[in-house]
Amino acid sequence: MNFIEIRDAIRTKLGEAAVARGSFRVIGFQERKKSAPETAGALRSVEVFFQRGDFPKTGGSPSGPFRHKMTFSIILTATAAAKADLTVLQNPGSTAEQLAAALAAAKVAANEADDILDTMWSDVFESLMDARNLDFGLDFPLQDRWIDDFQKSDPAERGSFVMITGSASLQCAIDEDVEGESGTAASSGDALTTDLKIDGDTAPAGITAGG
Amino acid sequence: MDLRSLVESDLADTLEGDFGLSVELVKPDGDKQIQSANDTDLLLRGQVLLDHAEENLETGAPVIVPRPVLTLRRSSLERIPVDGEIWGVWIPEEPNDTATKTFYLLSDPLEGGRSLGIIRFYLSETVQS
Repeated sequence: MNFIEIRDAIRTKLGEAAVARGSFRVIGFQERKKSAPETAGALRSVEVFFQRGDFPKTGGSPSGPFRHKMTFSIILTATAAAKADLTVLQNPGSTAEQLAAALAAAKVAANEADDILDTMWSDVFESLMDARNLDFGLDFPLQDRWIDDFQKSDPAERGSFVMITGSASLQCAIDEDVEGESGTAASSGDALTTDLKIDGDTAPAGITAGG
Repeated sequence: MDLRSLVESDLADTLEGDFGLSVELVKPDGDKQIQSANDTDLLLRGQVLLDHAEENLETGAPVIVPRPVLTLRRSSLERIPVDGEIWGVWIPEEPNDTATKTFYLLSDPLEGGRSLGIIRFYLSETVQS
């Protein structure tokens, strides 16, 4: 079905964005639950996978094509620890003013994870909704490409880390044609030859089997 | 001395004694505390645990969380942190190398023990910004 090609095209486009922007990595399937260290730092991830397909009866005939309204899930996961200027804080020679400034500028883990997720979502949205990605590079038209909302989870403490997830749905539609089962390709041992009787040809007409 | 006062004074042994490790605090204004407010000839000491037990909310099973917990005697502090403030602390991570300390942020809400004269901090691992 076409949705598999579309799924792969979305994975490819997001993968290219991940390389270009460097703010996330792409996981092209629904993964198991991950621990905080598995999504911390550069391991922040974007999962994209085919979640749902709707086939409205009014959108096709019993023999096809079938209107396929697809929903792809996009799940972002970012985990972070607190951040501070350790070059000052771990320097025994730092003055009180320097220490105070470093503490005031420190970012708690929830703040850091939240900012990271916002950046990831911005990059993902810009990639998927780019006007050049109306059909994600496919050679057949894709309709109704749309993301209608994005939602963040509450920050979850994981030891010293804080993990935040965000989820969105990418919808699009395509007509699916069911091609049916393809026949078995003939091997040389099963070839059938046909002799045609042509005027003047005295050889007998018929069909012989064999190689 | 009443029993409550006795329990509090016993913290000098139970919390700050042989099992305790020396720590250094830094307040939001940059001022460090290295000595105990109870006796400035002594270093500030407390119980340092590098992990602690919590309950998995989904399964109810106990899990060990690799997040340090620092328990100090309240009367040994020059000032008690207020919720919302960001403090820093240096703690030793190796029991046989207490001179080498690692920095952690203290930013989470404080956990009680006020009745027994203790204060507990959950430390946040900190990376370079």
